[in-house]
Amino acid sequence: MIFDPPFVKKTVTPGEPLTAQAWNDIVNALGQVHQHLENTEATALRVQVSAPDIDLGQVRVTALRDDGIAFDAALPVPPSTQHVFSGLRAGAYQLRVQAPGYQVATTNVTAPTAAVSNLALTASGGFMPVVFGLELGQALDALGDAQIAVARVLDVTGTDVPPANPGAQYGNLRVLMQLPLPGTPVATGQGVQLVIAATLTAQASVEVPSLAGLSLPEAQKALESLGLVLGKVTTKQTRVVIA
Amino acid sequence: MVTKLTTLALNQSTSQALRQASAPITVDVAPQPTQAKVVREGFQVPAVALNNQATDFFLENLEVLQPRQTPRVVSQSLKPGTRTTAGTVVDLVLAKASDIPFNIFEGVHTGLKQRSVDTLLDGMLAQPAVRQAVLKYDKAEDVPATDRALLTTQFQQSADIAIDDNNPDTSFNAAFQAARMALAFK
Repeated sequence: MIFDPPFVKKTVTPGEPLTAQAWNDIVNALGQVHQHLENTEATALRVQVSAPDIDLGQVRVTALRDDGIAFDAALPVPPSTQHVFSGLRAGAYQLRVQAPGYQVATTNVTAPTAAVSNLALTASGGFMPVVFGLELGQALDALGDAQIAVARVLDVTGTDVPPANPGAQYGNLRVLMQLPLPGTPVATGQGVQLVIAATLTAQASVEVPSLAGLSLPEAQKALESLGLVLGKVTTKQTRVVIA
Repeated sequence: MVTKLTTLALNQSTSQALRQASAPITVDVAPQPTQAKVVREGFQVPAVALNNQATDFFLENLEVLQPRQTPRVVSQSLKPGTRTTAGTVVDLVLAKASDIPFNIFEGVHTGLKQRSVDTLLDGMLAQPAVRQAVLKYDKAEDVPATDRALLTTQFQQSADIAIDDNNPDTSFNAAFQAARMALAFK
């Protein structure tokens, strides 16, 4: 509780005199607010989280009190890079820092403390590199360097391409889409997906000719000259009615 | 199984003859004669043992089948004009020309519709001059007056159909087209 004695809201009507007691109540209340703010600032717990290229906005810092109650730190307000707990009650806490793609880090602190708690995060996997526009071979190399497994590769026609051994015909086709997006942490064992271009081969089409009147050898020759294949042949005759 | 051997242990005269031959000799050492691997209705087609002498006699007493008597294509699984890719399979239905009526064709003379293609093939189109007059031109309007007169006479006298250019169904054009299509089955 900030106010002691408890703050009592008092109002006056127009023409009513403001007494010395009322004025003193106002001054005392302001003093107590000022003191509270000073105490809060003094007991603030500051946490500096560090990791290469980390987005601090994705970092969650929690203080777990020994009675099981957890408090979340406020996100850094630029230009500050520190997470801040305000008004933590004095006592022992376990700080827990977690962020997507990083291993959870913990440390024990006692509040209040003027010292900044520093925690370094270790990446739990890789981060999706930018592979858009790269040739498939280059993209696979980049992902391999980042220790990221590729779960599936499709070309734009929907054909599955084996990531482990895409073959020469796919190696120089460019990546048109990547899942997940660049910069997204990829946990160990989580596969990513790529969509690559496809080499479209124009297949010559032929126009089927009329074969009516041709004998079977003639029709077969006509079909084969166009690259068509003779299929099932049925020969029919007029029904013979037996009296 | 067929094995090619270049050296054989044979009697002396045969060996000498073989030595003179430079080409390799093929010897079939299979336990049974080779049989064509053809399956019909799910079963291997049985082997047939022919008596060559009797077969020759039999064949000498048969007439050679004329091309026109062989079945001709009447229907195809992919209609003419369909565009498709190479390798597409086309099924066919064939029938003998003598069974094919004119009414399956478009734009033929009404007087021919109930007759078979044979009517013209065995009639007026049996004459080489008439056949040439029909095959020479793609369209009736291209036929010059001399050939037109010849064909009209043939249509009326040999095929027994009336030519009336005032009626598209009995016009010279309809008869000419019928004759051209009939020749496809010759």
